[in-house]
Amino acid sequence: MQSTDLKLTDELEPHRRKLQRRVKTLCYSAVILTAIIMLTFFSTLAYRGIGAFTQTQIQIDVKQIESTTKKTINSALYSLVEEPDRKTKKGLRQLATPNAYSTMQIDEPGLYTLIAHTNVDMYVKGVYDKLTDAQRPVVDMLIAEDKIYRKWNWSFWTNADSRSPEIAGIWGAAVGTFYTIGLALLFAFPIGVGCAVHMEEFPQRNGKNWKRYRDFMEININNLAAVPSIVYGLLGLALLINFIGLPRSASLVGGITLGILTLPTIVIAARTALRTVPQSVRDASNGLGASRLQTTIYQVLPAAMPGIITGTIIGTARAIGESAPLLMIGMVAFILSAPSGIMDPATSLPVQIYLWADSPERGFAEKTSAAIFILIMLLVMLNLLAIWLRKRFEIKW
Amino acid sequence: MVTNIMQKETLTLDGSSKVNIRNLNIWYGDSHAIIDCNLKIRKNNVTALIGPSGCGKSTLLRSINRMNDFIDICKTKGSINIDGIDIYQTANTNVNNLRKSVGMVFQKPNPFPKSIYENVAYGPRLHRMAEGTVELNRIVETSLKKAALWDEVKDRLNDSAFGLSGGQQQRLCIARTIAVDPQIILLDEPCSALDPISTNQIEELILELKKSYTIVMVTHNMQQAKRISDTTAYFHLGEIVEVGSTKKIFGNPNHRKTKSYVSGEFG
Amino acid sequence: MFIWIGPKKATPGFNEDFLKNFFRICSWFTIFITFAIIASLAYETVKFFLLVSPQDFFFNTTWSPQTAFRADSVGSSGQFGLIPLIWGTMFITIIAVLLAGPLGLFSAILTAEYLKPKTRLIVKPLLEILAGIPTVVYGFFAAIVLGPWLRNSGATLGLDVSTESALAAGVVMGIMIIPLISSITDDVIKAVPASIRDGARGLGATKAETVLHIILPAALPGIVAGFIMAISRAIGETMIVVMAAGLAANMTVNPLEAVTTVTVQIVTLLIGDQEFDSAKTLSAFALAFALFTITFILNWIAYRNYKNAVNRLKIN
Repeated sequence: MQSTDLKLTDELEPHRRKLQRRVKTLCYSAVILTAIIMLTFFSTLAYRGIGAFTQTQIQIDVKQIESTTKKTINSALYSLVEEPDRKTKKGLRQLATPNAYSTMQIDEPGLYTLIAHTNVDMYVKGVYDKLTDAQRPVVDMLIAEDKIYRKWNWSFWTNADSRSPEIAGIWGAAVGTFYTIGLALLFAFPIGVGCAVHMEEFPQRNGKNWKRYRDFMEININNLAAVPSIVYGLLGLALLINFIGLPRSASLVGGITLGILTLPTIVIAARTALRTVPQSVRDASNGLGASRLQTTIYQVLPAAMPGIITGTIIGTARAIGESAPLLMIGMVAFILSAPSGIMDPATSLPVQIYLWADSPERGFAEKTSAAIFILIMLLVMLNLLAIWLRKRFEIKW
Repeated sequence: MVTNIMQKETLTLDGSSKVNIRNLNIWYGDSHAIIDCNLKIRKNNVTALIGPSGCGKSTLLRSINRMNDFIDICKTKGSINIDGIDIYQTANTNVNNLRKSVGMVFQKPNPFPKSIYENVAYGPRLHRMAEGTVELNRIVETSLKKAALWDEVKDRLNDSAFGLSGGQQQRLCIARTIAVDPQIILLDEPCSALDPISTNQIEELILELKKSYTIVMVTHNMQQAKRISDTTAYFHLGEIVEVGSTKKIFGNPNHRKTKSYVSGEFG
Repeated sequence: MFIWIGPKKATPGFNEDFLKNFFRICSWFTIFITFAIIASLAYETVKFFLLVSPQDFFFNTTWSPQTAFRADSVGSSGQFGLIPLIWGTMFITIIAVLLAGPLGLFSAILTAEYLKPKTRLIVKPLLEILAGIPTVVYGFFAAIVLGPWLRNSGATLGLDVSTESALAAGVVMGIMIIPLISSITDDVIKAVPASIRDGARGLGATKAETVLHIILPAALPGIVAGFIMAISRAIGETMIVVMAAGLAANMTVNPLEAVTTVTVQIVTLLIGDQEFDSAKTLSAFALAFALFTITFILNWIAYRNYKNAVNRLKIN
């Protein structure tokens, strides 16, 4: 006799239902909160950085050539206002970027474009107003006459760093990053793959010792992967700069330091990739009379290569964003032109971002955001490349 | 001095035996996998090793081309003479050449993740059997023909081997083995992963191949052993219970155990 | 193109032994790196301890590194106490974990338990994006956006918030750590075998009850390991704190004030001109050695526990 019903149609007790709902809400809100944080993050960056992609320029009408370019430009500027007094003249002179005086070539009369001084640039972009009372009416008038306008800022991409934010660019940092990361890869890839091959494909005959050696190596690699990046910077400082005597701030030093930093990641990725290759491939190759090394070189390694390269790209993306170790080895010097060799002082994009962020000059604020945007875009492209490579070349066993 | 197994000197004591296994004992760790095995494999014959699972048949097969060397816990004692030369005389045997002359086809088809051409060309390249591309092409074509696969793949030699069906892949593996010009071919349950039609094709291929090679085959399928083998050895728990001509083993075996196995009473 | 590599020397082709030795050397190189790190840090630390006593370093509660002007007044004009730096580091770390812990944990529960496989494939990588953002970008966000915002909002509420508040640095550090915690927690939850889930469901437990009462406790050792790894990462983090945290040692419990950390000091001491053997410069190495040791121990513990946790779950 059944004393209790199965109660199949009763609803869940209230407190249990509440728990269900609460947990679900909690989890969803966690993810949504994280998403909101990410959105705020990226939108503030976009908002602040968008200005750097345009540059304010002033059009001047050069009517007569003076003895020096400086005088020519100045007289053209003075001519913008009717009968400027001394104070106004001073204000007018400071409308152009100081750099224009040394780099422009004016041989004939005509219309020329001057890159505007950062104060004018910031005023036009609405960031702040530091114009003198003498300058403001002139600038407003020029805006109304369309003689001051914003154009796509090519110099952001092609110029190196500068003291004047209006003409500062990322080219120097880009070249520096290229050299540094290139060296790091050149260094870390062969050694990383070699180490992984050694750990995975060449167990020696005396089983117990090898197992202990392998465990030790595995612990070692995993620890190296988790060491704070600044320690690698100090290693570079102590070993490469102080002990060996390489020049501070050179991309060679940065490259080796970042290479050492990326090495554990590549080793781990390569080991995983090698392990994915099934034993049957090795059996088939050995069965044909290939020695262990031949099997590894001709069959296993090529089969694992897509995975190894994907892992390397991801490791490279990490390395590109590293700045702490580079600070330690001195790649913070103010570099005015792109490095021409690996021994020249250089900087990298994230370090450039740090330097600009630290600068009291407010004109650099938008440059910093824009550089961050470019850096993130670069990383996104690298990651997409890795995903594409994996989809395209991965061997489905 | 390295002994080259390729020398076809007939130093054998027994008539036409190609492989002479004497007092072979193999341990897997503590487990005695092969117990006092004595077996003669005749030239240009198909010898089938049958018996229930886990009786050491594959282990025995792998000892003939010393693939067991890769397993640390495997210890081998005894001798295996091929053409009169003991391959376990470690000091003298060039193991890589051994595996060239004693080829192996595995249970699950395992082509390399490369093109069909590359799969077959790998062995000859390794052992430097071809002088130039022309000769290499010839070897590849001959091997694929001998494996009865040429007609099906001759127009897509550069396609990935993974695009072939199971039966085709297994024939590719056979072609690959033939390409290095072996004298003995070991087959470890070559059809167990294949459908009946492919199985049939491979069985016919084996009958054709035995004209040029000595074949040793492990199989679970008694009908298969009956169909294509000349000699059959029945294994039980690591020991050979009985060995003899296939007709005798299946028709009128000496041992009670053999009889109960081949009649399907157990196993 | 087929380049022949084999046991014997032959032309054209390479001898095997050369490659085998190359691989061996690569392997040894990684051991060399660890050795080099420990050796170089230890060497400078020893030189440091010749100038400043270890007692002073480990037990002093004041940090104000100065180099003596006269050779004989070493140590008396500079205080090299580690404690305030550890305090600052842990303070910011705790704030970070307080933020990242719940967010990471519950996000992981969502991705591991509640989401359909297709959605999971999209959401999980999105969370991983946070892990790929360079730390200098986080530092920028903390220093230029969050710091001033906190100060201004604080001002309107009548609070005195420093632009370099521990809160700003800690919150951003927390954001950076979220993916670490969530991905490890997700892994461990996924490793809980289906048999345990089935047992709970078979008794009539709801999904929430299964998760809270059965799965989380089973996954707990692994989750703890994940937290320890996250803490280790936070302790070793440099750029966020260099840009957003303060320079002066300050042992406070008020998150609205500025504190400094070990990594900030390492950077400050080494940037700019320095004589290489002064107590100031050497103290940076001593700090780095301490940092290395602490993170090494934490990583060791975390990794061991993680492996044990996953193995134990798989056996069950």
